[in-house]
Amino acid sequence: MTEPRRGPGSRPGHGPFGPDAGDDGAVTVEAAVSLLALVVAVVALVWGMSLVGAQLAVGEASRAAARAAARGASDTDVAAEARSTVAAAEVRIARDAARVQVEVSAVAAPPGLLGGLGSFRLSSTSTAAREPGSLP
Amino acid sequence: MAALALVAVLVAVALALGAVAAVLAARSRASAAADLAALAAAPDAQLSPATACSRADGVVRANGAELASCTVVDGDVVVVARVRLPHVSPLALLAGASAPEAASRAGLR
Repeated sequence: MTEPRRGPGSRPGHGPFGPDAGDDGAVTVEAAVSLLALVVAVVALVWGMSLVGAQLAVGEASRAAARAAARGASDTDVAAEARSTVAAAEVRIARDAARVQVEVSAVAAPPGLLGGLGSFRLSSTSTAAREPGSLP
Repeated sequence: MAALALVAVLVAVALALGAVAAVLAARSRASAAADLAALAAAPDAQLSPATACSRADGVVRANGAELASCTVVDGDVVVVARVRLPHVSPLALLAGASAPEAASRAGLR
């Protein structure tokens, strides 16, 4: 009987079919699982950061829109002002004798295939005093 | 073990980003409140600083902030708004940003 030929670096009893092959694939599986976890965590982080950016943009839009409303701009112009910052913004305007309140909201959905995972409605409300002489 | 360390690092990064986000959002709200309050107060700044500042206070509050200071300088009203963070995180404290402030100045010309 001759010994089976082995490639360089292989040792007897240590190979895919050797006697102690039981935990050979374990490192690979652990690496795969942790890589997957890493990818999921990084995607979640990036998504969270983009949500923060989107929320800041919505806040900026509501501020700009409230300024416009305080100057006496029409509802259409106020909404246009908000949409110049957040294109898909939904704008609600409430006026009373002294103040005008503008609520800007927008839906943020995860990009691409993740879109079905759930979306958030971001919103921001700004209140401004109506400037004297502005239209009712 | 390496995976565990990695997860710990990611959690730390997420917490840090969350703290930064909270501070950024608060600063942005303070800035909007100061801006809109200064605009509201500007018409009264020259005639009656007290009226101007009480208007500023009302608008700052309506925007979820508090008035840190209100002064009239050369006929302009200078409003400083402050937003207190609901949960004071250690990271925000380290950054000295537990209550971000923003100033805005407006006047009639």
